[in-house]
Amino acid sequence: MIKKKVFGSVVAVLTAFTLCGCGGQSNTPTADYSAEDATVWCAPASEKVLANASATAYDAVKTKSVVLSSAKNDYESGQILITASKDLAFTVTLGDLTDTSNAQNVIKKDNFKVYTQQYMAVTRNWNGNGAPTGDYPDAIVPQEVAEEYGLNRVAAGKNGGAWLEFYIPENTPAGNYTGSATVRIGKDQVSVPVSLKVYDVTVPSELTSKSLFSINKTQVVAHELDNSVEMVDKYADLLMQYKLSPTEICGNGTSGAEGFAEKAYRLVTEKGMTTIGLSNYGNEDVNGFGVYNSDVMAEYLVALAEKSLSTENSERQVNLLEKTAFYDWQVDEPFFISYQNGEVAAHVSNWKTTVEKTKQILTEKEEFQTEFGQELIATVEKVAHVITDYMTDEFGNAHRTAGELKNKDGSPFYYASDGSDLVNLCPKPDAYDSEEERTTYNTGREKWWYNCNDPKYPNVTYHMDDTMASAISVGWIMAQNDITGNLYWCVNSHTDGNGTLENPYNTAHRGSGANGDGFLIYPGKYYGMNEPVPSIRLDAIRDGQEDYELIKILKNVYAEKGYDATSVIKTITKNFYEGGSILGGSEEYETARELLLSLTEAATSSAQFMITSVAEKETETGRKYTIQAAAADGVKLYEGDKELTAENGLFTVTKGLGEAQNYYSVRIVDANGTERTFSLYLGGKEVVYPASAIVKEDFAGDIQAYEFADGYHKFTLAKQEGSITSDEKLRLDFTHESVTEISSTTKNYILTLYNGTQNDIGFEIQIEYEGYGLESAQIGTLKQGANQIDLNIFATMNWNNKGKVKKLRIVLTDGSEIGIGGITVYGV
Amino acid sequence: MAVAVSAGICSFAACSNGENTENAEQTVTIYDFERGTFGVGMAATFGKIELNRAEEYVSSGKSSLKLMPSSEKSKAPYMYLAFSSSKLGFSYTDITELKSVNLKIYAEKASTVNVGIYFSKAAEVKSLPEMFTLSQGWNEIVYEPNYTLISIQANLDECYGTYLSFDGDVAELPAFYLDDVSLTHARVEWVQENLIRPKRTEEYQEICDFENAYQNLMFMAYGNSGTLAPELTVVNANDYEGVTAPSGEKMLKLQIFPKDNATENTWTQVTACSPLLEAIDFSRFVDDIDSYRFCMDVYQFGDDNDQRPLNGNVNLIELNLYTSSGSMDWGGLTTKKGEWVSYSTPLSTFKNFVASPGKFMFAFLDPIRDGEYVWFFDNIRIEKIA
Repeated sequence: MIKKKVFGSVVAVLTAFTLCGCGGQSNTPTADYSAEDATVWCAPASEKVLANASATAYDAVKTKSVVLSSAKNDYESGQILITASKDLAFTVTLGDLTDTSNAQNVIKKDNFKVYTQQYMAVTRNWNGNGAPTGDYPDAIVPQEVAEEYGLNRVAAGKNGGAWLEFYIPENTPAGNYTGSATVRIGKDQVSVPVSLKVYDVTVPSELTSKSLFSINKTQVVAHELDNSVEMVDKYADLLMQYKLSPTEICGNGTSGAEGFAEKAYRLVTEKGMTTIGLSNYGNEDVNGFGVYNSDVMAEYLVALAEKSLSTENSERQVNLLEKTAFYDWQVDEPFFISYQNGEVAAHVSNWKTTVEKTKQILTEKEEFQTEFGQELIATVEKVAHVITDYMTDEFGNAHRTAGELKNKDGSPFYYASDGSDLVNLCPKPDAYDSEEERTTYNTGREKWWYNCNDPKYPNVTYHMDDTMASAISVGWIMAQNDITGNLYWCVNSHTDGNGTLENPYNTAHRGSGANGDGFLIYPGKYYGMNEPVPSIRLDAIRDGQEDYELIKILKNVYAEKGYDATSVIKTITKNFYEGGSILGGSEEYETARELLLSLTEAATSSAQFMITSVAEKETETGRKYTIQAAAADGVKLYEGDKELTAENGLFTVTKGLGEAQNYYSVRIVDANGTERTFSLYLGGKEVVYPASAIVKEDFAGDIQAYEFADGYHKFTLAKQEGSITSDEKLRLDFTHESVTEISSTTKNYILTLYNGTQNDIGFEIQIEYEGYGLESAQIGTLKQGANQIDLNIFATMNWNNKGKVKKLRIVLTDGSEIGIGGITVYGV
Repeated sequence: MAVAVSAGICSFAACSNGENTENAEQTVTIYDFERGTFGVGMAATFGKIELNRAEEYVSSGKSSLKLMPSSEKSKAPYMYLAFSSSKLGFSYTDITELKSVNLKIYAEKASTVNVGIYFSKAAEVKSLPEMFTLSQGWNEIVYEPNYTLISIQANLDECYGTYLSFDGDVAELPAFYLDDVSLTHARVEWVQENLIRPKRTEEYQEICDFENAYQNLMFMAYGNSGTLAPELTVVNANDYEGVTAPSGEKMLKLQIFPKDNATENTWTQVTACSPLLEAIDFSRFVDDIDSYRFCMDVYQFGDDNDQRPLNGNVNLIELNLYTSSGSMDWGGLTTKKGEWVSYSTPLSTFKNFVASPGKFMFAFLDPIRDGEYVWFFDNIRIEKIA
């Protein structure tokens, strides 16, 4: 007899529950909020405005209008922010931009797009850059979709933002353009001015950089609920709109090598794809390892060559092999992942085999005996074999945690320093921090690099809690160091350790130790879109891609004239980045970019004005900058009213830092009488306090003995009766006027500390602020002799609750022989 | 036949007001698709799903879900709806009082739909479904899970949601529109039948020899490669020339279909049902684990799977035995075409799993070259070492 089982009762868990389609308020004229409930403001697109941050946190960058600068054929972004005092919704409409000097020149609003910023909670700062936790903007949803799903709502006390994308067409005349944006909040409309300066320089449509950004097809299917070829292609299309190339798209929906080549040609010629990504096809036993099949790989290379040859002498002749790169993912990160002895070597040798086989096949084909055919054959060897690894030398091996690479017999394996192994090493940004290390990647092969969850700050990253400047600087550093290719492991990984995420829009950290790692694109299906959604980080990467091309133009134009742009590029970026590390933020980037546009415009103009060198020298009378410039014949340069004279074709100006703000400013008048100006900010006022300008009374503390000798105020420190504190360390307080004048406009406070002992001395510099107390400014070690200590925190730190500086305290582990030399202070 | 019976207390709705409403029902709408596609998933081989705004295909509100299953890559394309969504704000994963899943579905032409419930996050592990006939136009479906049958294969505590699958054996599947998916909660009476009774002696513990009817349901196969889903059936060895089953007459046949591009490694997995693992009671081997070994027989009927040999081994089958906390014990064997391979390993190879069994799985690295990839499994057992 079957008896029935009856369950006990269980209360179902019901948290929040709404069936409302639009999620709440609509932004209609009858809404119960208005512009009175909001503060409308603007900020540069290079500044991330957190939804939960106080609007005053952005006072330094806040503007009342959208202010942009651009080249032609260039994308620029801006943002309008709303700080709400009541729950509300908003929309923004953009109008045309009109040339202020010629109303006929109009940039139509059809070239502009409005997105609504979506925010993601960052609950821990993984980047290590001190950025706050909070609600970070990332995904940007087209405004019409955002409105439909209520994503344009801003809760009381929060910030919301519109992301404005402006495309400046190639045929736009240079000039200053103005227009306005209309912000609608309930029944009210608020007008926000928009201004755009278009420089007379063009970003080329055909990029010179390469990229391989991987699309995870499984994730496309899982989130877009669409396993069609077309949906993956849409992800690729979005990447290409942002001037990036997908890793392996030509095999999507095609069959075999010929189909691959056909699609490659179409994407290159119709969509501007810069890089044709090959993957590991087939299988072959190479020295006991399962490796990609060299015959199959050769088939693909041959197919690309044949397709290229078929375009010979046509309007769209193209060498597809020049654009091809093979990312060998099966030996990904050998510095971190342990592979068997000989495994990496097998992959390296098999690529040489692949190249040889391909060349042989092509050489035997009669049709390749043309000039173009021979060019294609010669290109085969240049196809990048990208391996995400560091060089196998002392520098590169310092990054290895998986041990040094070995051959099958256990002997050390080395990548060729001359590129003869046909490997294109692809290290991370920390490989570019030192001059010595970065030169090891000059193997004669095309240079690549990549970034992911590591390393973190100060190295440049695409992390969500990192700055936009950091993401943008990737393109700059690449251009400066002639790195052609940029690899990124995944643009749409919306998964964590538990599998596919239910909601990709709300999880910043997915287990890799970096917020935002592995995703730059969001699935649109969740909001009824049949295409993916970009992010502001993707926008920043595009900015970097465009700036890369401008830097390349600058370098090439200089080189054509026999000059080197290295010096000026270093000068304009000195506060922005150094090596593979970020130094500055939004302000430093915007300043550098304005200078880049200005320099590139000037160099490519009829004046051919070029800054050929900027030299910085410390002299007895302070720091001096010697700037040399060149110009076309017949061009006159003026500094103020004074005409400059050229010597050996170079105009030389030497500037000090005697003013509160010091510029190199010239007026350039070419042979036609066309005038332009160029201005380079050198720095704030330099004030030098030699040791002789400091007196004993400027010091206090644990002083046992004092003398002024050898240009130093020398002290022997020991605990005195009534000493400042009771621990073992010794203290020397300094209250000289140079200290009490420190403020937020002090960029560098440089003092020389002398260690007269034979041993290292630990030190800490503390600053005492009125109404706040003592705070540590720097900790370090004094080597024997003179040590220059640069306190450079004052211009960038938070001065909230801090009054004037009262004193500088030097805390030492050994005070037996310590000296203080001169002080140099630089203003911002 | 052993049965289990437990008494009910009160229904979902009745407790709150104290009335004697023994058979009271409460229906809650969980998906009306007005807020997007959160909570919706599909097999990689399903086809396409999108939000629909065309009024004629909307039952209520402004949106419905348009389903476009494709038979190109699957014989049973399926999609699924989770019983829990943090975004949409509900959680009904405890199905102990789930009487029915109700939905409205518009069919472009007369067709059928299978409805069931599933037991893994991405619906790889699914219950046997119930088939419903659909007329052209709107249809209202009430699916009442057959817990008796479902509990043979699955642990009801691990239910994630409901799934719909379509008959992929037709040339062209029509589109469907889904709306107003609701759950009816009420007291449910069902019988738990204790069918899973693997043979056991002091020297021998059967895991599966596929001779009993219930053993047709003990293993499930799924892949993540986006090509045709693997097929798993219990077959008779006599139907395959030259093949003799090592035990009895029946064996488990697995067929894997090759992936069509080579940009990433993907896997096909064959997993044993939770009730089978519970019935075996691995814990009894913990204290004397060194006296036993794990054994099974595998026959490679099809082509070599050598597309990407791992560690130099072609035709590698991995045994991934996961503990309840998620750590894994690993075993592996390689097969040979046209031969039975008798695999045997000390049971201590899987000592962590034996102490705390979670998931029992075979894993295959998917082939990427055209071919027929078929294996037979039989006589999966634990035996005492003589």
